Amino acid sequence: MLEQIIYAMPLLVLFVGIGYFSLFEFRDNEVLFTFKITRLTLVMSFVFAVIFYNKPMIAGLVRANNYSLLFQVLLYGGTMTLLFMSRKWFAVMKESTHMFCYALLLSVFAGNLLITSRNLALTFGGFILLMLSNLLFLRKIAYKKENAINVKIYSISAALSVLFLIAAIVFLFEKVGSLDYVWLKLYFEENSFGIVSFCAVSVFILTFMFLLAIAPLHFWFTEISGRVTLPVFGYFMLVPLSAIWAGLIRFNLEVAAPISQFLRLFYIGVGLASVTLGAIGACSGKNMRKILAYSAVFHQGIMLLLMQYFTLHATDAVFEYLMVYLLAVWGACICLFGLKIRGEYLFTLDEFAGVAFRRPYIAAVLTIALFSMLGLPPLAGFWGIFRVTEVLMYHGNFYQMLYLIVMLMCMGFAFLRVVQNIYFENSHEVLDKSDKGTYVGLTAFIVMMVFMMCFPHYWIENLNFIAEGMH
Amino acid sequence: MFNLLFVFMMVPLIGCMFAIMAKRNDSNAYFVSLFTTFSAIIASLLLFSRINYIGDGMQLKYSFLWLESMNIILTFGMDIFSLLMLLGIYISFAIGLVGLPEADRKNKTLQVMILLLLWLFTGFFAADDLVSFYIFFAGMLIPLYMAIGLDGNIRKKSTLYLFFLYNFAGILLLLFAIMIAFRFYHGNMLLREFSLIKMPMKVGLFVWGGVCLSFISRIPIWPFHYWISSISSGIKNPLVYIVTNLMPLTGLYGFIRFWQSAIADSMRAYVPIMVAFCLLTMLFIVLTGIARKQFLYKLFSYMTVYYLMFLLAVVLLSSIFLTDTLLMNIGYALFIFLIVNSSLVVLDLRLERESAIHKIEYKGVLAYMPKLAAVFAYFVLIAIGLPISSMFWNNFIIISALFNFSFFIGLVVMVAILMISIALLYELYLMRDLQTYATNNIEFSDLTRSEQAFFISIILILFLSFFNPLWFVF
Amino acid sequence: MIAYTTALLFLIGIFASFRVSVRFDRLASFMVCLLVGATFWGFEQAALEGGEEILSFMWNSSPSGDIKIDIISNAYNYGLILPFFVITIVFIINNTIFRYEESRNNHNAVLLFNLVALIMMITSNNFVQLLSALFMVDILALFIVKDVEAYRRYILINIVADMLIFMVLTLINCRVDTLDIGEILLYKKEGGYLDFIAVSGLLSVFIKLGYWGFQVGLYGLRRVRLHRLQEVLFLSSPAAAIIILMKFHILWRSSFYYVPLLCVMSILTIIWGFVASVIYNDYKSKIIYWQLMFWALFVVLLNFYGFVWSENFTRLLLAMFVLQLALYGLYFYMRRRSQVIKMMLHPISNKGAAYTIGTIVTAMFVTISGTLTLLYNNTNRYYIWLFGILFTFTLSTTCRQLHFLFKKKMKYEVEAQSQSQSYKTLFFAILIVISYVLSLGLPYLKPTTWGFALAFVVLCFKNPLAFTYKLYKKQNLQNNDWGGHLYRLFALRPLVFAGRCLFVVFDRIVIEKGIISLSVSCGRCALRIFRKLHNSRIIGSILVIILLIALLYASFVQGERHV
Repeated sequence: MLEQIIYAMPLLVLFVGIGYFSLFEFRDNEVLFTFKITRLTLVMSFVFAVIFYNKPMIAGLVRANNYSLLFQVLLYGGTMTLLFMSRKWFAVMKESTHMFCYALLLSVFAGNLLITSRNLALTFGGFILLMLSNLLFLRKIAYKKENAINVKIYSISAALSVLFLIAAIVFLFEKVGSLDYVWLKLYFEENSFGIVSFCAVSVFILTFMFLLAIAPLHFWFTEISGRVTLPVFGYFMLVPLSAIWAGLIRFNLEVAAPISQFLRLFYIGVGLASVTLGAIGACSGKNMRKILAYSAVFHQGIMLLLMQYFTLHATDAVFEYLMVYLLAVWGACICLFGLKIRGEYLFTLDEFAGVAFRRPYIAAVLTIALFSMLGLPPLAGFWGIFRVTEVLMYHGNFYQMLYLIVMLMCMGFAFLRVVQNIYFENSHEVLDKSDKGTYVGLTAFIVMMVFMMCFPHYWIENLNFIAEGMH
Repeated sequence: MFNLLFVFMMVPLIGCMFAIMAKRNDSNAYFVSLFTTFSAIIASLLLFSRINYIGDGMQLKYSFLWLESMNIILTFGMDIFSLLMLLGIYISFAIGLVGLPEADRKNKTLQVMILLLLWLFTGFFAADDLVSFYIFFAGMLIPLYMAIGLDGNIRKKSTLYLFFLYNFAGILLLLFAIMIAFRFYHGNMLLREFSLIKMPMKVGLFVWGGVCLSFISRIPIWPFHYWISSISSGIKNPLVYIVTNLMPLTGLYGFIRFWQSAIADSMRAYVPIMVAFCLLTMLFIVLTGIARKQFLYKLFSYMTVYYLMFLLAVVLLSSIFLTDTLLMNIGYALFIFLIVNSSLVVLDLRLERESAIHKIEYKGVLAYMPKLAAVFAYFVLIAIGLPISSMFWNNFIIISALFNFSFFIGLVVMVAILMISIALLYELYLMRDLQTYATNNIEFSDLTRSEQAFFISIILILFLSFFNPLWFVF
Repeated sequence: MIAYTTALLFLIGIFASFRVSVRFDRLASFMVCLLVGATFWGFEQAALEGGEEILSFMWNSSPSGDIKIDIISNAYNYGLILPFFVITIVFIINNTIFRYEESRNNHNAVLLFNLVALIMMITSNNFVQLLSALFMVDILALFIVKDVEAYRRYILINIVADMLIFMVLTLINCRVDTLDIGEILLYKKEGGYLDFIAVSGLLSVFIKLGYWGFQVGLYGLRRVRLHRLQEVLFLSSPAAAIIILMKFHILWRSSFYYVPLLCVMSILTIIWGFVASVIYNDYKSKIIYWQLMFWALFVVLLNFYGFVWSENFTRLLLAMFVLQLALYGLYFYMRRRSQVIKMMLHPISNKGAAYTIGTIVTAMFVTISGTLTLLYNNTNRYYIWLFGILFTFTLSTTCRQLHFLFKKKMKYEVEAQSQSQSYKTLFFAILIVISYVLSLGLPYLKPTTWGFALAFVVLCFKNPLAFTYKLYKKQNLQNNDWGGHLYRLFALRPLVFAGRCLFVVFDRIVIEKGIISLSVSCGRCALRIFRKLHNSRIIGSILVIILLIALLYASFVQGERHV
């Protein structure tokens, strides 16, 4: 029992942190204090997670291995970065940080559940908590009137998905007698199943997609992203993605693999829709955050396209793509945190005009991050596109690739608009001084970019190893 | 122990690092670029002495395992052809840097991008395997786009978008093609092995279609010429112009490397279509060049015609046999072609600047600058293929080979070359017209003594190549 | 040996190209004269000794074999080089005697390099060498002409000719797979496009010789100083054309079109030369057209003799050269007035010089007609008669004016010439010596030898074409550049028009308005759909949910099918 409690330390620490914030409400001027507590909680949780990376809290419920560690690293990394970068914003804006930190810890808690879960009930719990933390971010931290409709859409969708999830869990439990992934997989492997079972599994996949904001379930995310404050935007871009993807990949391989033939067309359809809507959406507006949000839709569409194969090869490619994408997003978000005029963070493309002349380093990194997302060598993003193409070609999907090329060009057009504004336009607005943290973050980004490009075997081969473990 | 080629490849990258660290709004980065370029020229001359002319395939090879799980071994090497191309590119860069106006020399970002491009060009010509070739081929897009955008004086935004998107599509198509090849080869392969991979006809069509389209996206074949023509007509920075117009060389070199061994069966049926497009583009661009008044556009037409001629030679002769001797003839001609183009671009843009400052008509502008006029005239004469450089007899051999393939193709190429030569000459003498000079008394800034010495040394390089194209190899 | 001569000439040329101060310019030029003279003497000795030697070394390699530099010394080449050598030397002497150039020495260098290029052409046995030398001759013409305006048209039309030759040779090379000129007849066996080759080659030769229809290049040179003009007329593109014709006629004559084209164009040139030289007031224009008439006859004669060079051709060429120099003398003594009509107003002051020139011109008439008499038997005689009559008429038309000038009383004293008398005497002495050498061995007993000379003298006193003088005053006729207009109208403008049309059609309409606009419209349409979907969220949501369900169902059905 004690052993299990120790292994549950990462979650327990987070739980304590969440509880602490639930019990005590801090005043507005205690920004540093709340952040300190959150940081401490996260660091401790992360340290425990690393130490006990292969020790499951409850063997039947969670699976702890190098796979979960990888995504935990991504989850905690993103969260810490967000925390680190948001501090300044809260200090300048004099906004309350209490709810922010609370929701953040809740989200990390939920993320941990999703990453390690091997049971539908736990996954469901993760979903609930994540939806809740998302809702907190939307309603309590960044609520604006113009967002009301989108928050409503999100809330209704979330409520509906919870209902469907409950129905699916009940149905599957009745059919299989267990909610353990292993049993579910065995059930699908050994029995013929009907459309209802298929729908039950699909509900889970759809919920994952909903939380990832994969098109056409992206409405809440893209519209909100364009309007929320930067820390909230940063949260949606940096924190939940890695955890949800970890959950989806695991669900896919451990539960849905036997019905891969049934899901293939669905993944292709949704993937292509996501790619299309992401690319077109990115071209549609002048809002920088919206562009990045749509780009998230686009890139996740690509990953979903890869998931149609359910093979080690494809999973490996998804890992790599996710890694390079998250790195680029990470860099882009840090850049956004470093650019502000009179305390206001840059929002529209016009505001980015001539940034390169005043903040050349930030501008260069933002450009690198954007081009990396397009997969252009010699940037790390090249590995992502390289593997995607390799997998698609390996399976002979020429037309999907050609379509992807067209959409990549659309996406390229959207990013070009940003780069053109940054470098080839000029403006006389004076940018506020960026703090050192931004530059530290950017330097770390560049170092990682160079490392990932020059020494791919260090990370790609480890990812291969993790993917092999999954299979 | 470091491989010599590796050190050579690192020279521009090290220069780039220094340029990044240089002060902004100062000429330091410019001098770093200049020093790096000349160092690269010297290094390439050293490499020439290490390369065996008659040697088969790539030499000074080095390779390293980049990614074991995918069997990606990056291989680099040099042969006399690629080294000659590199030397031509380095000299072109040097010419562009020397001709850079004082104000543009302080643009640090431009210098960084230029050095980055220099490195990418070096890697591109040294690449001997599919992945490294792709990386350097595709990598050029970002710095080039930045250079054009920063200092290309492009007024229409759409032009830049088109430029990027055309090239981006080309890059993705190449990736598409080589990844199919990966499937059949189970990993990375040497470039010369590419055309030997056995694959079904339909798949081959996808692969070769992708490869050809990606290279064509760099070469101004109608309708792909649009990006380069619209960009070229706007650029006023000589260095950026030169670099932009080096891009077709990468496409051409791609064809040479991919089709050196043999032309793919699946593509054989489509070669006539490509040839037809090349020929039509040649005539179209030549006539457009004649109709346009700017010398720079005529120069663009000239470049296009010559690039297409080289492309035709490579494509057509690959389908029979592309001998090493003929390939070297193409290389010698290209070497001169690159240098002459760059020199003419620099000189013409200088003329344009001066005529704009003094509000003098383009006609007769050369009369005000006798030193520049003399140098300019030499370069035009070399450009049109007169026997003052090795381009003359190499053109003879290349055109002869084209005639051997098809009388009609040879004839169209000759007509195009003739027309563009006349257009260039006509423009030269129009610019030397003395009528306006007689009525004006304006002081123009002619070439300085050092600039004159630089251009004369370039002329000397070209002239000596007439006797031996590799005279600088000891 | 020709190789040594060439090398020496080249070295002297390099020596001459160094710039010297004005004080030593004449001395340096004199030195060059002496050196070239000595080289000529050595050349003559070698020619008299005879024998055949070949200097050949490898230059470069090509898929068709090695590119070699060949300098073949044999009697034929010696004979062919001789007239050009003599003409060059006389021009250099002329240049040394008179102050034609600011820098005599550099001009001598250009002439020497030009001669070297001609020798390289004559002795070549390799396409690349021949072409290189041919192009060099054209480039050097710029340095001879030294007038950008005049050179422009000349080089533009010559570059067409050069490219045509270039094309012909590439075509031959591609079929016979050799660069050896000696093996061009193999092309006949390979077959294909023989007529094209012949016509293109002839076209190139016509352009270089300034044949009818292509005279604009040489006619454009009327702006330049007369001595430069004459240098081009004798040593530049026409000389190169003759050499090319001699090298390739063997192949071209196999074409059906060769003889008719050559003959028709030659006749047209002679007739047009006559008409133009009669109607133009400009003295230099007349000189150009006389020379063009001469070249046309010369080519025809060479053709009838199978392009076998003989001393008669050397004599004919040199006689024409001396005649032209005498005409130059006339121009010189008329204080370089180029309008014939003005010459009448300002008569010649030096009667001695005038009579000497008159005598030399008449003597050259005797020499030319004597030489033609020698060539008469083996040729189609109509050409000789046609040329003889027209040439006599046209030259006498101008010289009749000169006759008036000699006779007229001087209206005012002409300023003293800057040149001292002794130099002028030297010039005439040289002309007389050459005239004497040329007159050796002429068939003096034949009436045709004297016929043309007598006709010339008679026509100088009584010329039925005197009415054409009225045309001299017609400014429209005199100043109008008909050739240039026609070229602009039929060559340049259609090309420019075609270029603009193509630009508009292909770039503006097809690409900009077609492909790009279509892509942009597709993008806009996609955006519109996208925005509609996102703006009406409820309908959009319902729609996408329906689509999603449909997709799920389709996916399930497809999965079942696979299972």
